[in-house]
Amino acid sequence: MGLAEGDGVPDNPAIVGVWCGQEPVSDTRVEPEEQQAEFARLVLCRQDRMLRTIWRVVRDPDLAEDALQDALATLWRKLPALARHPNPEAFVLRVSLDAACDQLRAHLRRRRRDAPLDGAEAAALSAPPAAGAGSALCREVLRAIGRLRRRQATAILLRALHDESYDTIARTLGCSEATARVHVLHARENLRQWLSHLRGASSEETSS
Amino acid sequence: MNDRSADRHSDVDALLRATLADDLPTAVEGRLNRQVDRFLASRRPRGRGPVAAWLGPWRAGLSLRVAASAALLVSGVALHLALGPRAFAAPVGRVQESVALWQAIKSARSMECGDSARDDLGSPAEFADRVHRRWVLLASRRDAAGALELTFRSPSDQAGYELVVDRESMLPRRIVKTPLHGFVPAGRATAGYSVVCTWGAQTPEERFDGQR
Repeated sequence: MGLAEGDGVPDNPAIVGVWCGQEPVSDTRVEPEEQQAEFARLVLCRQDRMLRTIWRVVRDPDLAEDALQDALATLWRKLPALARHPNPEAFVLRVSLDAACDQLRAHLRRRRRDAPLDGAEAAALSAPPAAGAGSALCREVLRAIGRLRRRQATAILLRALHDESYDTIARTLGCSEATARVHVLHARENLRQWLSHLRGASSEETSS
Repeated sequence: MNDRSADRHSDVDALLRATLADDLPTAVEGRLNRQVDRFLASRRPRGRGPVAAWLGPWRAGLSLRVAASAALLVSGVALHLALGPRAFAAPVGRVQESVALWQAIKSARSMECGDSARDDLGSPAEFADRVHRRWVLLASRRDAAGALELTFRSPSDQAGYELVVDRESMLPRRIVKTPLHGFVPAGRATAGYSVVCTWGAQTPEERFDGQR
């Protein structure tokens, strides 16, 4: 199924600018003190959820710090767009998820580049840094998420981890609801395929 | 079955929820919270502490003050170069001459300068007070005979005074008064004159007693 990038772009120019990679148009120059207050109102009140979202994806303290720094910098830069967004909570979550997925992908790339081995040893070395017991399954899942396209990863994580509606995912991604459903569907198919060797996932697949 | 219930039964979604559990460790949470604090500190505008706030009103007109100070400095230098110090005040050496003249006149026992000068200048003490406090020394030079010629300006009666002073006694031998710019004197002030003065100087004992 083909998916046009411009499909479902919202009418709000600020949101369009953000998701097209442009700087949002700011009508007036904001004083630093006002920007601090606005940042506290829109971002810091969701700080706990940001931290937990990032941790659930990267599951490594160093990567989490880097992802958090990227997310905070992005939110600071896009503060005017965030203030005009119809769902600031989803906006913050999306930026956090994007930053976490970017850090995860970068980590996997570094591991592959630094240890160009083959076979099981290479697979072990390129594993994501999942801490704690049962990390083998977690590493497999994280590696599969790292292979997803950015929008697919964001869509499936918003849906699965945060139980967001397709309408919210569509607004957050700046696309139509149908396109959001397609992103989630493709992400599920890809993950199901890549994780089919896991027994638990395979058994659930048959039940569904 | 709606979308949410269908998704909840999705194997992949269940796997994601199970493996990517919401189990942020407390130590990592504290570390990330400190990271947020550091980020906010880095975005805080610099130089806005208590001292900066106290200096705020002064800093607001800083450029204006700098411009005004520079203009005043340039004006002062230009004025000094264009007109020279003589236009306004006498140099230190001439002030010393003025002081010596004041002391000599003040210590004189008597003064004979003619009626017009006596009416104008009064007693030696009054004359000394004028020289010291009211008159402005404009110029001083030596004439051919070695005498000192001091030129004063009197702002109160708009007149110029030229005094030829004896170098030994520092007492004026000749006084010339010239009204400035057609000034018409009023009251006891007189018009211009030129008089020769003789002085009754104090004896050394009188001078010693006066100094005590």
